[in-house]
Amino acid sequence: MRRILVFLSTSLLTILALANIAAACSTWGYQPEVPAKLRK
Amino acid sequence: MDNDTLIGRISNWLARESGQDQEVLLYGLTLVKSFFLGYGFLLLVSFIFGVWSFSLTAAVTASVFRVFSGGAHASSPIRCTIIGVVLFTGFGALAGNVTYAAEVYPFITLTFIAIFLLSFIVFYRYAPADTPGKPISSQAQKKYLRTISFSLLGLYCVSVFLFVNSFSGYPYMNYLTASMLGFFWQVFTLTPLGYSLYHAADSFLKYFTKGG
Repeated sequence: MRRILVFLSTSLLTILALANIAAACSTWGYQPEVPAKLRK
Repeated sequence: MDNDTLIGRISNWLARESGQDQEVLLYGLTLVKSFFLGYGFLLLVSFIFGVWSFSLTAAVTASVFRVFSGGAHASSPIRCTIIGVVLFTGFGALAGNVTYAAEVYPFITLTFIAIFLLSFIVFYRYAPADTPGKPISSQAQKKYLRTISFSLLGLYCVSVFLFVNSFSGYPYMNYLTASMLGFFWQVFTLTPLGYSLYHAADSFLKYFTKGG
């Protein structure tokens, strides 16, 4: 159960991070700095 | 992004458990934190003032456009939350208390036409507007973000005019006003004046808040 929850949460966070990279910026007024690994 | 914070420790633990990249997880967690901090405080404050539904309408409209068109940003989550909560609660209070007489309806339509014309010019000139933390350097990304922004703007424009022709009175016109205020603010944050104002508010709040 714990492994499933970890898998689901990490997948969701990765999708969110990648979706934010594809978007212009975040929904609310703060945009954290993009990690170097996710920059082109 | 700080690894010593609570979300830093959570991302470290998740990275250890899953074998995924810690930096990416921390970035995702920072986005989630910023979202819940912003909307959570907005709901709390606007609920106290009894205008939460109008504030939420304004904030969601601005957020949807912001994702694709970008715009000015604060330099820390707490300052961004303060600016957003003050603004959207204000928009909610304004929209919730406004009443339109039947005689002013043609003027409302004219005002909306003026706002949309101005928005098309601002979008054409500035969208997508990037931030120092997330510069948009790829031409392909700029192109698809512009396309989505204009499509969304066209869809919103048509929806607003259909709404004006179909509904009238409280609370419909109040929700529409709230949505238009959120939209207008988002358009304003794309302009250099919007960036300057956001920067001024951000600098002012630095005297009272830590970080960034």
